[in-house]
Amino acid sequence: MNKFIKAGLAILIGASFVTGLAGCGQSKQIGGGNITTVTIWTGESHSKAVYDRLINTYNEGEGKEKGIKIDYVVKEGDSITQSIELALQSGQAPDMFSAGSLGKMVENNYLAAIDDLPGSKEFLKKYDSLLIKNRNTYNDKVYTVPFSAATQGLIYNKDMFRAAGIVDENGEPTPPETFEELREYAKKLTNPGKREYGIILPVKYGGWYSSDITSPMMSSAGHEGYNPATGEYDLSVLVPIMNTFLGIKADGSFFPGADGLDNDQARAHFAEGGIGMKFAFSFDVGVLNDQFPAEIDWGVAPYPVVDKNKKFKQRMDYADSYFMNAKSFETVGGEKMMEVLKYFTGDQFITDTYIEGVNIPYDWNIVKDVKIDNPKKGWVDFCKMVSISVCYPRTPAVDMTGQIPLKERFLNDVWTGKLSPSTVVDDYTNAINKGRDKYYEDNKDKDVTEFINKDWNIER
Amino acid sequence: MKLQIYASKTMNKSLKKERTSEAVQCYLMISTQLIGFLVLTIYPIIWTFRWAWYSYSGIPSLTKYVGWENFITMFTTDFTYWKTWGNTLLFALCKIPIEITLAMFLALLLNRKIKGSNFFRSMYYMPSVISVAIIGLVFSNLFNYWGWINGILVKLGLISSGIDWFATKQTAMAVLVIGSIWNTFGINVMYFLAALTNVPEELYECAKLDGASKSKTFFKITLPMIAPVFQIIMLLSTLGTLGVNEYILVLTNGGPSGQTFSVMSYLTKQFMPGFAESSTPALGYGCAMSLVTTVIFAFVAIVYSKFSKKMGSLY
Repeated sequence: MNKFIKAGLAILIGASFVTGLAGCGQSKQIGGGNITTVTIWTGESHSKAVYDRLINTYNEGEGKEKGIKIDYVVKEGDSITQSIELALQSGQAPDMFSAGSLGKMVENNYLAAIDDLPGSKEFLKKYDSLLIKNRNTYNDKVYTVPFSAATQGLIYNKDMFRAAGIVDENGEPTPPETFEELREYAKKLTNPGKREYGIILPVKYGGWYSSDITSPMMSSAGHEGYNPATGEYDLSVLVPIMNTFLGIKADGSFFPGADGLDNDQARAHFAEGGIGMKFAFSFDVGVLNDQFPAEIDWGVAPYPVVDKNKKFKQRMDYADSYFMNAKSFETVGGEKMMEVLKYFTGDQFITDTYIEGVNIPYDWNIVKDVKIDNPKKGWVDFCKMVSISVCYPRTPAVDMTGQIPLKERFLNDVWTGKLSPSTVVDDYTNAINKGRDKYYEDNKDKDVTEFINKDWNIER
Repeated sequence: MKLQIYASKTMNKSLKKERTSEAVQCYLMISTQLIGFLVLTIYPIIWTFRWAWYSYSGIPSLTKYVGWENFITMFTTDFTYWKTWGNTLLFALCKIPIEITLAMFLALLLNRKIKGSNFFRSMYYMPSVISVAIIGLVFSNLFNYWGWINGILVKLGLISSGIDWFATKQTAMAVLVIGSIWNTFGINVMYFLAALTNVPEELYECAKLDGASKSKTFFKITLPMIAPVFQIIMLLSTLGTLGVNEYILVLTNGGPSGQTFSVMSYLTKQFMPGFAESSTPALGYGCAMSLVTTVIFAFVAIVYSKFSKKMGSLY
């Protein structure tokens, strides 16, 4: 009996190990080998319902004809990047996935290149000018293509603008065009007695510095710190931007308690009313319509600029197509991988997800004639921003080991009033250019000139 | 005689077999913990030790051996890291004395067998079982500009308008200390109570007969008798406080302006994939920092153990 118990225990332990290790999805042939399942992992939970519906239609129609079934899995909870890294290391990764570090994955031979798929030459033609080195391509091979975009801008409370008389001749609110106006309007809109404040600054939010301070650089300077036309880092445009925020702080025209505010709280306050302006991302549309439905009339405007006579395209970010698992070349096959890639990057899918209000097309021309019935408030405005935005190219590597990042220097020294913006910005500009030189001196096999583009001009 | 030897041999064999079988069974029982310890503790330590001498971000072609460079940078140019040590020590100095005094005071009260002491024991212990992330959120809302604390203070007329608790290092640190004490004092009350119940009642009776005052009884009997437990409580509290991490990230996120980052929360925020802003943080440099941090922690523990050795043998 004792032996039986021991044997049973051993089997149980062994089985638990085996099942534990084999928990993840892999592509497999089902239905007598005619249909191949392609598993996709993503962290995009907000669009799951729409994706599930569209993918279901594909699986029942076109997919069935082509012998493909897409299994779309949203990984919730833990960081998607870490889940994928672990799965790749243990050989349990799905066929396609939405996160990870390109260089790391390519150099570990985890990824399949699009160039190696059948029909890739024709497929990649339209992306020629859009592919970004070390983001879509690595070591001259293409791994992803742009698929959707995220735009940024300023959201403003139209009711408060009207009440403060910041309107045009037709009585329509006029959001600030320059940083000077941003400060001026914030001051005008502030009335602590009525609990109304010009702007809300979620300083506790880790992305506040990039969303409010560095992101607007591009539309003011034509680059975001690294100037591809000269090959130099030039951060001087940050000085007037930082001064604007210091001015707003000095005026007291921002929502009190900024240092303890994260972005969710700030968005909730904006939705509730009493906040004149807030810097926002296109994905805030979902937040202000569904998560914290705004009780106010609000609008979307481009980022303010330093000089209204010199406007450049503003920053947007592409979301790229899924990474493809190198192993899936064998299990799924190149042709079917290409079919799935074409489905997700095709104009039809991009249009459908635009209409459903979940994806902004990377190219406005794809949807410019599409009309949406009752779109979510702010959705079309943020989408239209694509036509005045550009995705910033990758920048040269820098060796800044031990240097304090500019964000920290801003928060520690500038925001606290210890040092002036120009002192910190000049010092950092000098340090980052030195860091670039050091990196390329230490890595003679790398070429810094490949980041120079003398024709770079994004004036609008 | 032969029969006896044979019987003894058979018995020995059977005993040996039984023992081997028991040993296998025992090893199997602890194997999961052992594997966990090797995989989740020993392997990461070796991994950290290895990469501390590299410039490493996870990308093989950018990985290179840099020798002592990471350590030299840390000691010569990266003052932020040392500032976070300053914050951590300040946090510990503000928190531990209040927490320990409060816990001991409450334990002494609860040890008196007063009515409802079991209720209070449970109530004090409850914050210890709540996730620190939740505690961070609760205190973040309580001390929000428009939060409950400011509301009460304004209503009581103590302040005319709300205080921005997270705008200065002093006030933000005060909130952190208050929240952290609330979180952990209960567990220390339990430890002290356990120690107090082991003090023989006769000692107090003798002291009473000798006419010892309450304070004399406390300092001459209670404190020395619970000293060994006190020593452990102080060590656990010190190491726990120095290692504070996610609580800071949730409550202040290092703010204002990174002035409340503890050393562990700073390491997490800068170098932990998933927490760090960069998708390829400087892991090699982070490993070097983690090693130095571990050495400092170990040093604190050793120094404390050495200097508090006497506490273990007061009685």
